[in-house]
Amino acid sequence: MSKALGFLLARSLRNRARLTLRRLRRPSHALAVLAGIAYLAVVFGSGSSARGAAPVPGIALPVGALGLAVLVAWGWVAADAGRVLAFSPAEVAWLFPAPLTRRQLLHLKLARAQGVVLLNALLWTALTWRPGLGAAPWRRALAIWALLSVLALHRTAAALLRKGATSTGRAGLRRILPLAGLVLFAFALLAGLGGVAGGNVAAVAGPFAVLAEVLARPPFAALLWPFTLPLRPLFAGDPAAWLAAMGPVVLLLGAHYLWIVRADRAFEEAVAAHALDQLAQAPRGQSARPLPARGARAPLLPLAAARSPAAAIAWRHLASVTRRRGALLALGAWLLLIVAIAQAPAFTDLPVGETASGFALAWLALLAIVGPQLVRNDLREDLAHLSLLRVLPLRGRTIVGASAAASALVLAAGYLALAGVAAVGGARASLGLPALPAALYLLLAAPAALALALLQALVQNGGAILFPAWVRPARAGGGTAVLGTNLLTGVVSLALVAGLLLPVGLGVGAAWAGVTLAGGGAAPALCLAEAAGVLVALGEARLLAGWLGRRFERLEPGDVDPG
Amino acid sequence: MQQELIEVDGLSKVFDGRVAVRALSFTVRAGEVVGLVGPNGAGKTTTLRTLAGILAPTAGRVQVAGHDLAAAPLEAKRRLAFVPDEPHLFDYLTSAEHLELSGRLYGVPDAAARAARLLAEFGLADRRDALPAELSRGMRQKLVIAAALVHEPDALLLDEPLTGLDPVAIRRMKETIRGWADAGHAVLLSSHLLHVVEELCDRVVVLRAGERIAMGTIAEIVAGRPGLAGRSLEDVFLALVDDPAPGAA
Repeated sequence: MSKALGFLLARSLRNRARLTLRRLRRPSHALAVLAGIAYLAVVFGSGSSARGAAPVPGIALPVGALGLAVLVAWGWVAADAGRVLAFSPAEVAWLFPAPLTRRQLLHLKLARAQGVVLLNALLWTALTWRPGLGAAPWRRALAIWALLSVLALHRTAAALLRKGATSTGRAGLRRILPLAGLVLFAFALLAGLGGVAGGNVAAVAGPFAVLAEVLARPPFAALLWPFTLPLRPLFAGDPAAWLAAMGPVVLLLGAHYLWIVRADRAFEEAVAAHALDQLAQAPRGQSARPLPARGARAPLLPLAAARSPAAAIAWRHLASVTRRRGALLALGAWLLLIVAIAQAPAFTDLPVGETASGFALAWLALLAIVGPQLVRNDLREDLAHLSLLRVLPLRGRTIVGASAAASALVLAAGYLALAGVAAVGGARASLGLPALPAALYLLLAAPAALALALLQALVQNGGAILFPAWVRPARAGGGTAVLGTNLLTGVVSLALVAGLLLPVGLGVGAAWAGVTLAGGGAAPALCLAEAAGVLVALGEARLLAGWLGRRFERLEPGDVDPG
Repeated sequence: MQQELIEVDGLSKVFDGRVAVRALSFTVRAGEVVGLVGPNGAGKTTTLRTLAGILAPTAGRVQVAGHDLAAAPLEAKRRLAFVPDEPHLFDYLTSAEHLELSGRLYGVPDAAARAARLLAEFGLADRRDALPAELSRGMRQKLVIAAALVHEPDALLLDEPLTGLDPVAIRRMKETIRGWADAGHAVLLSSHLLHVVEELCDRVVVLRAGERIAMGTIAEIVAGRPGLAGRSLEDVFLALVDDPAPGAA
């Protein structure tokens, strides 16, 4: 790498560290950092003090290799190649016209990636370290670093090849081949699992043991062998075995490095075009965010000219969700995973429906806790454009309400999808609910899910409006401060939502008690309780949107980005 | 006859089947300021980015100070500087470090001294330790232009260089551009400010839909269209871009 690029990396790192230290003087930032460190200490502490049994290499190695193979296949099939290769707008503007070779630019890219790899290696070493577990900590750290480096290099190489294929018109073929291979592998694996399960389920201890037994058979053992190589040093017990296992990994690293530096000429053009596309869409003074895949798909609903301004705002936020291929793919993959696990008899001796129902309820609970922070297609992604929002001829409550409604709709759809799986799987009985038709429960669930999601979204948007610099809306980033901020925001939000649900609960209880005391059946009681709860929640949402709207009208761009 | 420092011959650029620039040819000589004008989407920025080596041409040849941009990219790039339409800076480099980086990228031995001089010349001396987030849009623009001059390039490519500058800075920038050309360098600039183009440029290249529809001094362009005699560049420009059947000059 050239001295100039070394200067760029070193000075950027130094100034970033100085800025971080300066920010620590701000109490809110210091609090966030402290919360983040406390969280990590709890996680690391519990990880290092755990005395659970170490994973058995005979099981962990093939299962880990399968996981690695899936990650690699994902890089070829679905990952955004442009994002992997992306240079920042400043890098394109300053470095591409400069007398630098393509190889020097690639080295800059690889050096930057190493920063992330090193940080992750340290984190995973701390998270996975336990006394008596495989290699010593320093050998383990090196092994994790090598594994992550191979993965990072492979992702870059795959992205280069895919970009090159795009420019030569062979992109379709290069994406279809790994996808077809993955599907064939999955079918063969399911058939193998079925065979083992049909044979002697009781003889094997647990689902991972079943999976490992299948993966040890041909052809899986041969297919997964290359993926076991970077994992072997993790399970090497003594220095000699570790050294022997590291040899092939070093060779893999070298081969990937050569693959990348000899990548075809399409590299510069592809990354420059990608970065230029990004900076053409990025607001001034902000980092460019990745664009959706080429050929943005049409939104789910057309926007009629006669619709109200509030509908237009909600529509815009919903359209942004439907154009995020990665999020939709991830959601689909999770749902498929739940169904697949529930249907695989080798994984459990419980009835399929009960298993699916249990998984769905667990995910429903998790979504209710972390979902509002993750689903951000509302004011949080728009506050960076506050100046534009403020010139709209709309009242604050309209903007706040419509924005929150957009993310509430997405959240509610998630709740309903999981509730649907749970209902079909027979969750009613396990929850001790009255014996009513599953369809009635689903019908009642829709308004309840929407009302709950609306309250949650309003609380999240309220945080962004009341503490804009603290919540840092629409900002990508990482680090302990962001971790701590998210943690504190999540806890406070949960407490606030719980407070808002108290009157809702009172309404529900009063309606239920009224009907049952009057001698009504379970169905009318449930319907009336539902109606009372939703009405109370909507009333609260209206009041909250009005109050937040007035606060929004007093918000200024400087409050959002104090610089 | 002055040396031709920028030579563009049959340059074409195609994006996904869409022609952005078609068979464009022109030259910029030492001591000359040439303006690239045209309506939005005419291909001005694509032309400048291709000349800067950010984009690879689909066809055609670009030479900078006698060096072919495709065959000897490093030699060609050492002799040019590009100022993009948006002043993108590195988030964690100070103003002075940006200029120092520029000096290092182009192998300037006394980069620090030149950086200090340029910071003073562009009114940024008191902001030398400021990060980009602490600079206004105009200051960022000045910094990018200053960085382009650190290695004293033979050819200077400017994409909308006056956007975001205050009147004082615009006046100073016009003097800098003119002075740079008068010192024997070549300047190619694109701008929508036609009065600036008229004031600064020795010749103009008019683009429409990626094609050159006119080239030369304003007098030469008007000479081919007697109806436009005595009119301003704005009138000439509007007449040219509205012309349904343009004839290449």
